[in-house]
Amino acid sequence: MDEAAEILLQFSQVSSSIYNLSLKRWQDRGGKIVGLVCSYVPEELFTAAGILPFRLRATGSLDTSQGDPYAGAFTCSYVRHLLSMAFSGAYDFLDGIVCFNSCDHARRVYDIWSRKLTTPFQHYISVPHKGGADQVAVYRKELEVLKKSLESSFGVSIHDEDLRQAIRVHNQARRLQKIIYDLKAQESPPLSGAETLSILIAGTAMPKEEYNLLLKKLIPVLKARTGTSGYIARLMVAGSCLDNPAYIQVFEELGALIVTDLLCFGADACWSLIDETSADPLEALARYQLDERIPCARMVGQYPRRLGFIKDMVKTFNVNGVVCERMKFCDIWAAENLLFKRSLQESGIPVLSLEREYMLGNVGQMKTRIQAFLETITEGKKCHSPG
Amino acid sequence: MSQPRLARPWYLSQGVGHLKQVVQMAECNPGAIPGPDLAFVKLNLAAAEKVEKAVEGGQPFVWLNISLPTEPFLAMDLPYLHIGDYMFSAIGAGRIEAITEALDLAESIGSPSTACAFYKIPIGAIAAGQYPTPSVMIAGSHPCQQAIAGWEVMGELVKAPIFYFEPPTRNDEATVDYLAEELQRMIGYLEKHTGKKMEVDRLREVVEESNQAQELSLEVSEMRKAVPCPLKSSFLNLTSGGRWHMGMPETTALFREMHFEAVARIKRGDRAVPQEKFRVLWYDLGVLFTPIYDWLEKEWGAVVAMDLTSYNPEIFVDTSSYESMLKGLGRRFLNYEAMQRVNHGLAVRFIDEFVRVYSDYKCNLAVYSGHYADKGRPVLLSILKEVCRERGIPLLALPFDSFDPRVVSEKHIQDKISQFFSTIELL
Repeated sequence: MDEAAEILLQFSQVSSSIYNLSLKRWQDRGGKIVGLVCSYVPEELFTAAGILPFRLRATGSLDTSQGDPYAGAFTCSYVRHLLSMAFSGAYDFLDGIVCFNSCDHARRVYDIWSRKLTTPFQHYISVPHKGGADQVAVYRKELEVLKKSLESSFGVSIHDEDLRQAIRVHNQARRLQKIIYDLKAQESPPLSGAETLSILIAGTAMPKEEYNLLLKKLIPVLKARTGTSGYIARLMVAGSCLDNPAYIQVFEELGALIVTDLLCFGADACWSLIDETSADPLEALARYQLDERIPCARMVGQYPRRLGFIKDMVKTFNVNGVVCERMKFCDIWAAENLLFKRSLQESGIPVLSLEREYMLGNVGQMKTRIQAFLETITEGKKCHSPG
Repeated sequence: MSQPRLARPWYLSQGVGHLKQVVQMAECNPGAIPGPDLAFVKLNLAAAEKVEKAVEGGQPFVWLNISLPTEPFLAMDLPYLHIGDYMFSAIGAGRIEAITEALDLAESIGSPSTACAFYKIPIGAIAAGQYPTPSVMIAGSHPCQQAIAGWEVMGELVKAPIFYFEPPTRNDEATVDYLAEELQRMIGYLEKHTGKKMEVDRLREVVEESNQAQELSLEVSEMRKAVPCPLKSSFLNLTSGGRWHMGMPETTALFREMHFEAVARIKRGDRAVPQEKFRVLWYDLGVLFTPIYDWLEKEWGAVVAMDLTSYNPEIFVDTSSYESMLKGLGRRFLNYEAMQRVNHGLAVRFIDEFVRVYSDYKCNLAVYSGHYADKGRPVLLSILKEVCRERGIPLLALPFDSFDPRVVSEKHIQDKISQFFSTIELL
């Protein structure tokens, strides 16, 4: 096994489980871990406090039996699996949890968690859905309260310089992840879409310094690697929270290559950097989340930015088709995908709309649809080729 | 998709047309329509005629998201059309098929079947060119994610200037201050895009009008606490509907009419139902496509003592200054419309209010309808069930879509209610 394969395996192990060796080592040293629902809670604040931020997934969940009594048939399966895992004890290792009003499904996680589970630190923040200076100021205040709450609950002090240092560390991760994406823009990328997603997920589940070291080792090896060729089409995936590389693998087993994405576990996590020199680092964190990162569909009035991002990606990554996916019952991404489909097809970009559950299932049907989509792209290529 | 241009959109030709017919008919047959009901129709007609006049005269008018205070628009002489007005017009005109046609169209262009009909109906109506195109849209991220999804699509379909009113999920003084500023930002946006100006004295007049309406409305609500309840359950629909137009003299007239009727009923010793067996707290959205409250009274001798959309705490707006008015309107916004008041934040706010109102209105059972499309409701229901069990409150969980008769039919809803009431009777 070459060095790249070894590191990729390590990332794959982290992304395909909840509790991993890095977390264990962290806790063995007395480190604290706080779980975050969705991506609008700034990880940097926790790193600055010496706490490991862990993005909550339901990887490995087999069913929703323990979550279902608290949810409904129309609650998204991420939330149902997450609650089920939490009730099964899979998240007992957490020292805390922070939730926010990401969407109506996820907002209610806090309602249940705070009533039923005994995770020592539990905090809810109200994150604006709109960008702009006024909302950044509101969000900054929320972060100030969260900061004070972390300080008193964990007996730490978070100074501005700690925050700036944390921002630098996380930005370093973003820069390294961006290099991974740059490699994917090549005609023969040295890694698959599934491997890329694994790498990005691992970044939310292990100490950032350790993660950065691994990426620094991985990148030169990848650069020297022979790239993938012979794929049928280069695809982009856009949509709601997707934290399972096996989904990407289904596409790639059929001959497609996922070269880029608009996913909160993917390109969205690394495409913009946070101001490292701001006199007010809390404000910089709030500004990044509301104004600077690629906005999630939860952010209102931002459709043109998201569409613009997709169109830029299509050009930069030489994308042949876009997969607009959404988790079942995710209405905000449904609206987004409805609009993406109209706009992208008007621009001559093939689109596949895919509704899915959190856990991979219905693979046969999914494969049939992907195959048909790939055939459409292939036929389109033939029609447009000069010969 | 571009909107087909119709000579006269359905909302104006049929929806408003129906209201005019009702008023004309009432004038020819005095007493044929009860006073409060007629006042309600007149209120809606007055609001709709402003829109009609603006459309026909090429003057600016605005589309409005749910829950927003209407006083600033009235003070700026800006006609507004609530985004739910198409649906309410269709219900008023007894044209449920206009709703289902709009829903079918919205779904045919990609709106999911499980998204909220409240926003899907206007999407369908817009796609069919049945709504007049506004000068400005005042959208919002409240009261739930359905608004986010709905306005994003409507914004792209219509392409008019759009302002997103953004309330936090908290309910405290800092939020009130923020909302006053957000209202000012909204007013600035309206001034810029419509050319209309805010006049402080005019705002004061309008707010004083809405304070009057608020006072009357609270007194009517207070009278519902009497056992047996002297007021019909359907009065609640007039209350919640009236609050969509706070600041209009016709709203005050409606609440005055309701107040007059309520006092008269009490003096006469009237009761909502001859033998009040059940006092219901209906604490979610109602069934909008069929008069379920009337059926409850007739079939089960059950009066709805209070419901989620009609309840509101006492909040008067201080008119001493422009700032105090914006702050007061911000506070009222936070605490007025049900979805914003208790559904926008954490469950504890809903639960606390539910328990308090159940006790204040001396209810002996509760219904939680759990509007299907609201994805936050199942979790809320699971908590509510526990709370009701602990407190011995009989609770009927009755999921349906408040606006979409295709999801759960009237018959099914009635059957479920009957099963529940039969069980309660046996206890």
